[in-house]
Amino acid sequence: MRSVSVLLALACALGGLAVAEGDGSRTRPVHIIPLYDENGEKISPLDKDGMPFSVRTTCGECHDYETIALGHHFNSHDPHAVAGRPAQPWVLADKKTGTQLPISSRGWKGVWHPQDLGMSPWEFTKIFGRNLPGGDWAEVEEDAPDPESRWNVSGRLEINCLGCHNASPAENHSEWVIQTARENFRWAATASAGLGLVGGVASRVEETWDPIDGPDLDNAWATPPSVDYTESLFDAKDRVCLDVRSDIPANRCYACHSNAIMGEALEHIDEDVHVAAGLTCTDCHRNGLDHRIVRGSETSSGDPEVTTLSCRGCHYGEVSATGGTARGGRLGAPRPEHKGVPETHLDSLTCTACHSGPWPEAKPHMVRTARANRLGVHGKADWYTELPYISTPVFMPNAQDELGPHNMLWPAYWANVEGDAVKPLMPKDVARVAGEILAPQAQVARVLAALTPRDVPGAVAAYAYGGRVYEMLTAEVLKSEVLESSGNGVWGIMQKGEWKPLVLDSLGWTLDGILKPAAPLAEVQIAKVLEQIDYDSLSEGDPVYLNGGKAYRWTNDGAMVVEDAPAGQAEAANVWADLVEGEVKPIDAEVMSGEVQSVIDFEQPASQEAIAKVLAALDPLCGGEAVAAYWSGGKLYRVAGEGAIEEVPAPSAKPETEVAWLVLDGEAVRPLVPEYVSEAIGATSLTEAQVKLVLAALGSSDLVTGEAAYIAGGCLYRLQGDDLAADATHDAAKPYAWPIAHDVRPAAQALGAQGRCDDCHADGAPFFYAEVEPQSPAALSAGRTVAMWDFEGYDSGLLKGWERSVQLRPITVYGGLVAAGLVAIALIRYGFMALESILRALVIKGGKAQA
Amino acid sequence: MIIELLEKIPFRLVASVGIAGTCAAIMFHYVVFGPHRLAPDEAKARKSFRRLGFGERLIHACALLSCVTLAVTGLIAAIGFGSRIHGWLWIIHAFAAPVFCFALLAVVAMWARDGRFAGYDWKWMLYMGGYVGIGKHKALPAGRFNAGQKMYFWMIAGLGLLVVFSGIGRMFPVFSDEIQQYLYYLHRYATLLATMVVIGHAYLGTLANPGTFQAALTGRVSEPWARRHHPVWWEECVNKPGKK
Repeated sequence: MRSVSVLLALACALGGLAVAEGDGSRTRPVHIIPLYDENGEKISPLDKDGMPFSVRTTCGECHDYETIALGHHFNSHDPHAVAGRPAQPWVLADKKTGTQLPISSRGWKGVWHPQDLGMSPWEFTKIFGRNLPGGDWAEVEEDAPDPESRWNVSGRLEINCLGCHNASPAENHSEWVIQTARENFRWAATASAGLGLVGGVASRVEETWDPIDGPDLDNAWATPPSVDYTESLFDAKDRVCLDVRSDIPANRCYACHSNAIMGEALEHIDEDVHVAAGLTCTDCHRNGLDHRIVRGSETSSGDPEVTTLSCRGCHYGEVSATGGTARGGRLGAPRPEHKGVPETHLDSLTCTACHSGPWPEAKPHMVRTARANRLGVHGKADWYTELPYISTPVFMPNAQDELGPHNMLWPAYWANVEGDAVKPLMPKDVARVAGEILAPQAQVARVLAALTPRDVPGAVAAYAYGGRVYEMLTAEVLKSEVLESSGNGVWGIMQKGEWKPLVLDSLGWTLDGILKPAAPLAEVQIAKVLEQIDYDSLSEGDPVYLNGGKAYRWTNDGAMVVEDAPAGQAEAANVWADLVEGEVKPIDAEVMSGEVQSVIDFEQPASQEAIAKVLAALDPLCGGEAVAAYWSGGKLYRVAGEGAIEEVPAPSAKPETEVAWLVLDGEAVRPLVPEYVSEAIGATSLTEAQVKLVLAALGSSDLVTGEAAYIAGGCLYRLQGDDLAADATHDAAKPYAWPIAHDVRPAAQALGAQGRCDDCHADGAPFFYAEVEPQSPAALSAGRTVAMWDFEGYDSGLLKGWERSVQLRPITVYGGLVAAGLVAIALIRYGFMALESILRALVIKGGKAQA
Repeated sequence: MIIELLEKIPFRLVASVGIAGTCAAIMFHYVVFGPHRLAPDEAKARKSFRRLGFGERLIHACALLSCVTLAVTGLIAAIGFGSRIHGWLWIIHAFAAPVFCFALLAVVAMWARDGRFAGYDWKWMLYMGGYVGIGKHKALPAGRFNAGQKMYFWMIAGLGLLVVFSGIGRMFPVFSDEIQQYLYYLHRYATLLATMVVIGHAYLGTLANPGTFQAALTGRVSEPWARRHHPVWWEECVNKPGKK
């Protein structure tokens, strides 16, 4: 069989030119071909421990792999490759550390080269392999390989020809993502093409593992990758029929080139007009075997045939300054008329400014992209796709000084600053140094895990803060729900959706069981006892509690109302009574004692044992010499042995709440979790307190040799004493933007279509006046905005003048038209009069001559 | 085809040559032929005639200022920056444009009747107003406006019409961008011609004919000046009481 493949390869080599560029026939070559593994061995579906197919050896039989590798999708690692105009970078996004860092090796201004971050090809492939079409950094041979790399286990992520060219409905980008996440690089193409089932996880396997070793039968968790080919796809000669085509379906491109406006319903989204008209991406974005794909920019090539694949080139037939003969109207592109649009717009705007992207609004939209936000990964994966935050459209001048719509990303990262040099820190390093500062939910979860009662079915510990109650979901993640009445910074129990304190000592009775209030009762506590009195029918009228000149009365509606005490009861203190037609009848103290006790029993009241139990559970979390303590009734308690507690001197700085669970460290107390943790658990972004703490931690770590800084939302933040100093002018904080071209809207939806000058030239029109908010994963720049005209390079005075002139336009246009008409009439009239005079003179002269 | 041809012509160069050539021609004329000065004794004459009413002077001033503003802003962009008008220049241009439109209309309505050619204008034209030496010291026949002024008037009316039409025509959602391109070139070249003509008019109204510019300011001219430059009109003024 090997000889057959050699012959095939020879045939391909002999017809090399035809294979490389095609022989001119428009028939689609049928790809019924054998598959080869990376060692060049032909694959048999019957070999259950076989290797995955290799694109390099299989496709490379006929198509020169090295030539293809020159293509734009695969050459970013090559410093000699043409960078072209700025485009979407890779974005290193990490919610935990508040990082969104644009990365590219293209050398565009505002992006960071992977090597600047110390990111090895291995790391790059691991992080971005999900949208890497293979090749590029995933196949770079390193002089000094990353010691953490595991290429020998994972294999190389070869250029995945099928990822784009396979029109089979079985081609599955999600499968590619899964396999790259598992470090199954060698198997990713086989799995995503649907040629077989790939199992196992390379990242779990010992780094000494080799595919030839097969599975480790003693370790089911570390199952090495393997492939089980679908036999029905192979013919008798072990060949498969691949639906490979050069006219790539748009769906293949969408895997990495989709954009989604946040909050826009799927049914509201229109296709790009070109796609709707029947074109595919590759109709314009063409390439030869070298895969140097046409990017659609007028300046991207000196070849007129290529240039005419740009907007202007196709619709006008214009070519760049590089000259050449161009034929517009390719693929039936209509020539635009732009009626009523002063042609200066065509000089100062890109076509996309008016025709592409979402309609500009007062604030730019947030957009998620396939590559940045991991879109299009279908299945049960619970991706966090909010980060990075990308705004669109932001109108900015391009290299040719034409305004056009851009996507904009404000970098956010931690950095080591030395002089003017800023070096980003990798999120994993920051997370290591920051520790639990960046894991507030984990800190709370740890306390909740200790507090959750093991003996009460359905009861879980909960933490109330900011009107929400948090319960533990995992060791690092909390879930929350709104519960306004639960208090702030309070630890409790959630049982059947009902909030309860950890122990009912808060009812106010002293810990030795004597029924004597130690502190004023809370209304909710009074209500519980009154409800119990009513339930036990101990009162003929309404149960009432008299204290401090107030009467707390339980009504027939099953609710407590607070009123002024009845006449003569203003001085009553701590009296439980029956209110019958305005008369107060105190309830027997003994009966009342039992009554209150029943409430206490029902609510599992605080006994020394109950409190000691909670304190004992919390003690291990306090660290060092510190112990857990309980603050109640103005006294502080700690565990004094098995099931017992003892009072300790109250701290000088007393807690503000009546009841609190605390950490007693020496003579000082502190909350179980720091205040910044409470603030951060419900926040969707890093809090200022977290940023300060992390900066302090980084500053004292060996990661930072200069000064620690955090860049976010257009500012560079440094610690200055206890405060954050923000520098909004630092170059490192400037946003990175890249032009967008799609989706192209219909002509009727272009800005300014049908003479709608107001689309852009009205007061407050988003094109000039939109407020661009520097989106940040940290809550540091809230409310800060940058006007669109600032990005466009205008000043507000000029724009105001512009608007006024546009407002004047009707007078100019219609007044001017009338004036021109009247002048024309005058010219015609006097012209005829002049003609008449000349003719008359000629006639007279002729008459005289005849005479 | 025509657009491509027009695009190949560097307007910056054409405009520069046109303006500079006009200025050079003026300097040449001033040096070679000199101004039409009145004799010293005539210049001292005190009797004067009202040549232009307040309304006329106001309209003339509006037309002059708006025209100069438009020409300067437009040509600064074309010659100075080699580009289309933009930024503050465009805004000033846009505000001056309606003033010019109405001023042009008013000028035409006001002076069209006086701009009609008469039989005696042939003689003025034959001598080219005396500006090229021949007949320089003759009182060539001229009504309220001489033949040169009449020609200037109709040229400005015609060019102004083209300028206005080509300027506002592009603002209507009627013409395709190709026609707009033609209108743009029409606007450019009509404006250039008009500017050259206006520069010539300004020269003739100031340096070439001392005492003329006062008429535009005060509305009055001296009797010798009227007799010399506009003898027919002077006679009309003298013979018609109440015209003074």
